[in-house]
This record gives sequence, structure tokens and C-alpha cells, in this order.
Amino acid sequence: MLLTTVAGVEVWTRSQVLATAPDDASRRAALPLVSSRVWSESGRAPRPGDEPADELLWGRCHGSATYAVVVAPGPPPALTASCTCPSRKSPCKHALALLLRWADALLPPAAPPPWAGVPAAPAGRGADPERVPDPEAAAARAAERRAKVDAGLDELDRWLADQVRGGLSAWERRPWARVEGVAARMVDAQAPGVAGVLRGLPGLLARTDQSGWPAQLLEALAGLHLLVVAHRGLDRLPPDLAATVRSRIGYPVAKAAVLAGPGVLDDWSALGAVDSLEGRLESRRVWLWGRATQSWALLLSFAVPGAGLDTSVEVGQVLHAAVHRYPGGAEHRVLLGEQQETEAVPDWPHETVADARRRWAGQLRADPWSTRMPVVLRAVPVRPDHVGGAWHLADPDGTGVRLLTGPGEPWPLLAASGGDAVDVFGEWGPAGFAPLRLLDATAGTPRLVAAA
Amino acid sequence: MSTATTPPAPASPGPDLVNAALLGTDRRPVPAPEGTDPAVWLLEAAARRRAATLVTGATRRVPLPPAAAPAPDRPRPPAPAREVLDEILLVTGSEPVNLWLRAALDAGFGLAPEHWAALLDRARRANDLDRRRLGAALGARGVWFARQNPAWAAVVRSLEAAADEAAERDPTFNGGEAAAALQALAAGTQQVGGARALGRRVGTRLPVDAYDALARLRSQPLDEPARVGLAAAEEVLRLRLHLAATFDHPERHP
Repeated sequence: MLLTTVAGVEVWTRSQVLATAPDDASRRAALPLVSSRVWSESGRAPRPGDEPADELLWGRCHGSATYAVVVAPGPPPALTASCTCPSRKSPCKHALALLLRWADALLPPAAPPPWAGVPAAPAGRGADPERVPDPEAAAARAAERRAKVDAGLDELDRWLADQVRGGLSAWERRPWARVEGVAARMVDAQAPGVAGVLRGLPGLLARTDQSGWPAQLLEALAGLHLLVVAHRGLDRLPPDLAATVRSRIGYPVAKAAVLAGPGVLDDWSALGAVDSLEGRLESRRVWLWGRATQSWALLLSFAVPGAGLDTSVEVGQVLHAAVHRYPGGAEHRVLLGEQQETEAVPDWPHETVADARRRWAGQLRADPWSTRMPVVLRAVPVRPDHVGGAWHLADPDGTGVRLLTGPGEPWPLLAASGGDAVDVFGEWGPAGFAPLRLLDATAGTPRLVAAA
Repeated sequence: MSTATTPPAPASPGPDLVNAALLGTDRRPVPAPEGTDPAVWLLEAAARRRAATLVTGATRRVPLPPAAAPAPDRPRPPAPAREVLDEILLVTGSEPVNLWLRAALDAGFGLAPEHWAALLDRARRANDLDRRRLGAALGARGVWFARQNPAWAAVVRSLEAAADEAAERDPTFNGGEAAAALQALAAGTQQVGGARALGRRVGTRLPVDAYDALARLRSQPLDEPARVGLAAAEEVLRLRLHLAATFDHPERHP
């Protein structure tokens, strides 16, 4: 692994820092705190008594309150950290932000102030019996969060009703201004998932044609209403559905809890990857197909701009690994556990359009807010019957799914098919099928070709 | 506004729900039971309908294309040759494309399907792209593909017209012709621009074994037009040698 060196000291990369975050929420929360404006008395110095290359980092972070943070990074991902904030997460967002400033060479060398002692190792991580989380305190924190989310969602529900009471036609003018306030309120109410959906609504108006947007917007608002109703009855829902509701609202799931769950060992073929940008965070979805378990899995990784996305798993690669699933009925997201080398070649399933639609219906039953399902369609590309019309992938009986192809037309797909069925991997969603890769097994070894 | 007095039938709430939401339940009444907030009723009715549209919204019956394409008549070129074509397509100008097509056909290969669309688009903009060789390299399957896009109709017509042309566009010089052409370039009697164009044309027609003769001429002291003309010829000949080598790659892809 490549390390930047500042004056003979090995400094972590941004990706290495982000990899130590206990969950996605702290990763997101740390980014705005990298700014120099929120820090004072920060610096770095060689650590007394340790390896000469090891450093001690400290600073005061001014957020809603001022917290004093001290971090002692070792070889990544080892670190000890202490912070005066009330967060139980280790490392907390302040420690992560301090490490990011270090990675960006924003910490000047200085003499450590008296309060910056080397944090006691091991700080948390469950290694110290004294630090085993107190179940009563944990329950109290959960109840507090729940009440906060409840209050936020009640407010959201009133806002939703106001939208259809006053008429959606008002959305044609400045839809961004319409959602920003309520989205910010949802962030405060600790429902970042809901905030994300709200911020996506104006884009819906821009994407769909003039006649289509009112139906789609109403559908999206109804979906949010459904989420509010589901959260009110959270305790009466089956566990899988309750986990789905929590994840859609944006309750954090600790990595450690996911990794503590059972691992599923298999040969996982990486069939496609999609990069997207949400706010300031870039994310990459890598879809995996398990040969023996005949199941899909999703590796999600994040990067701040400039850090570069995780390229440790490349499309076409096969991983012999145990994966640990996130909770939720139709949840594909996993974390990779133990991994071994393998010589295996990638393989994949294939489905007709009708079968995929049946599976999509099943996924929506398990997660009514689903936005995508991985699928390899074996179907015939059908070009539009009029200029500007939609492309489809169709079964021999004419059941077709709309292809979502971005600005270009998917002529390479038709060229590869010659009018016959081809295997195309992509993401199925409410609006159609977004092709990612053409899968071609006829060339001896499987070939992965860009689809459009 | 007050004319909307008939409540929509609950059995088919589709477009009426959307219209009511668009205008707002304050202005457009909905059949909500007494004591229910019409706006909440509307959201719940839409949530019930949402399940069905999410499942089937993206699918429909489509007419299937009448017949599949004929089988390919030439094999896919080897990977290095496909990569060279990718690079060639990054720059404008038809000459390297024409040279690639010629090398492919000489080695018995056609165009890989992933290049069809790019070459047809290129041909649409460039009249000097060799139609006869493009048609041959596309083969019957590629021409079937070109017919699917009305935007390529004119290109398809020109491919068919060129297929009937018997004459080779750039026949290779025999030994005497090659020597004469090189001497003409070395004499440097043109303007610099003309010398470059002539050098390119000569380069496409030289036999590959003329490379040594060309290199010998270039080692002599030359005036500017001669230097430019011979350099242009050498550049083209070098690309041809490179292409011949990539098609000669032992790895034969199906």
C-alpha cells in the first residue's frame, strides 16, 4: 500500500482514514469537519516513547460545542483516539476529521499542549471489558433517537399532505427551494435517508417528460408517506421489514455488528460497477454474483472527492470470500470478510424479462422503497418504433422492459446481438433497466464489454 | 373549478388521483370518507396504487424485430488490432481508418461488432472513408445492423454502390513504380503542403519492402519539400507495418 510521507513520517491516505469509520453516518459527518475554520490549537508531534515514525495528532473542534480530540495513528488501520464529545463511536467523527486533516497535510508540527496526552489503548473496540456498552444506556440512546425521528417524520407527513392539498402544479417553479428546508429538517431529525429522497425529487422533474412528472412525483410522495406510516408501526413489523424501514430512514448500522453476523462463503463474480456522486461523497457500487449460493451481493464504498474510489475489486474478478449481509429483507449490501485467492472464472445467471419482473415484485414486497435490483437479462434488444422512442430488451413473446441508456443510444448492444438474445447485466428499477455490461461467454473465457 | 362535482370511481383511481394532486385537494374534491383529511386520503390511495405501477411501470409488450441478422462472414480481429482501431478512432481523418480496414481484410478479418456503430457514424461524416472496404469488413451481418438505423441509410446506399466497384482504390506499386514515386518525392519539386499530401498517397501504395529504400533516401541531405514528403510516406508505411504485425498476432479470437 502506498503511503504519503511527510518529513519521514508515514501519513495515512484519505481512503485509509475513511476505512476506519465505524459506519456510513460518521463518514458523512466527518467530511464537513475537515474545514480549517472549525479547528483551533491543532497540530502534530512525534509520539514520546514510541517508534520514531509514530505521531500524535490533536486539535479543538468547534461544532455545536467545542471538543478536544487526540489521535495516535499506528500502521493503518490501527489507532487510538480520545475525544471529549459524547459519541460512543470509535473513532468519532471529530477523530476522523482530524485524521483527514492530517492526511491532507493540514496539521502543522507543534509542541503538544498539556491536555493532549497519548490516548489509552485500546480505546473501545470492545477489547476492554470496562468499555462493554451499558445496555441500559444504549436503550436510552435508541429511545431518544427514535423519539427524534418520530417527531421529524410527523412533521414530514404534515408537509406531504400540504403538498397535495395545495397542488403539485406549484412544483414546476423552483422545486429545489421547495425541498431544501424540509430536507435539512430531516437531517436534524436524524433521518438522513429521507433527506436524500427529498433532495432527489427536483431531479425527477428534470428527468421525466412534461406529462410524466406529476404521476411520478405523487408516487414518490406517497412512498414517503408509506415510510412514515411504517415507522409509526415499527414495533409491530416483522424484523426484516423493520430493518428495511430503519435503513431507508437512515438509522446507522455499525460495521462491527454486520461483521459479527454469519458469513456466507462463496465464489463471488464481480459483474458490474457503478459510480455516483451524492452531495460531497462519491460512492461505488460493485455487484457480486455468488456461484454456489445463487445470490446477489453489493459492495458499497465511499470516497471524498480527490481520494479515489476503492478499486480493490474490479469488474471481471472472482473473489473467494465470506460476505456478511446488512440487515433487511431485500438488502443486497454486504461487507467482505475473509478472502482467499482463486483461479475461478466469472459466471452469471440469466433471466427472462418476465422472470426478472416477478423477482422485482418480490423485492418490492420485501422492500417497498427499493430502487434497484441486479439482474442479468437474456433478451433481444429492440430499437424504438419511432424517432425519440425508448429502446427495450424483450422476451421472445414480446414482454419488454424499457432500457435506460443516458444520452447515447445503445447501438453497440444491437450490434452484439444481431437480433438474437444477449446476456446483459444491469440494474432494474422502477423506471426501467439500466444496462451496465454485456456478458459474452462464447469467446472461451467470459468477456465483459461495455453495453452502451 | 367548481365544475368537478362527480367524484372519481374508486375502482379506477389512476389519472384522477394525479389530477387531484396536481390541482390540490383544496380545489379538486376527492371521495374521502367523512372525517378523513382529503390530502391524507389521496396520499394513501396513491401509495396503494404505487405498488402496482412500480412492478409493471417499466415493462410493456413490444413488437419483436422480424428476423435476426445473417451469420458473421469474417472472424473478429485479434485483441491488439481492435485496440489499435480504438486509438485510431480517437483522432480525426480517414486515412488511418482506411489503412486499418485494408490490413484487416488482407489478413482475413472483419470489423468487431463493438466498432460498427463508431465506423458507420464516422462514414456518415467522412466521404473519403473507403466504402468498398468498410462494406466488406462489416460483412452481411454488419450491413444488416447498419440498416436498423435510419441515420445510416445514406451510408448503406454508398456501401452497396461501392461494393460493385471492381477497381482497387489504392493498388500497390510494383518495384519500378515504387522507385519512380520515391525519386519524385526526393526531387522535392512541389510546395511543402503538396509534398506532404503526395507523400501520404505514395505511402499507402508502396510495397512494405520499400521501407529500406525509403530510409536510405531520407538519410541523404534534402531540401524542405523532399524531407516533408518522404517523412509523410514513411509515417504511413510505418503504420501499415505496425497494423500488419497486430493482425499477425498468434492469439486468434473467434
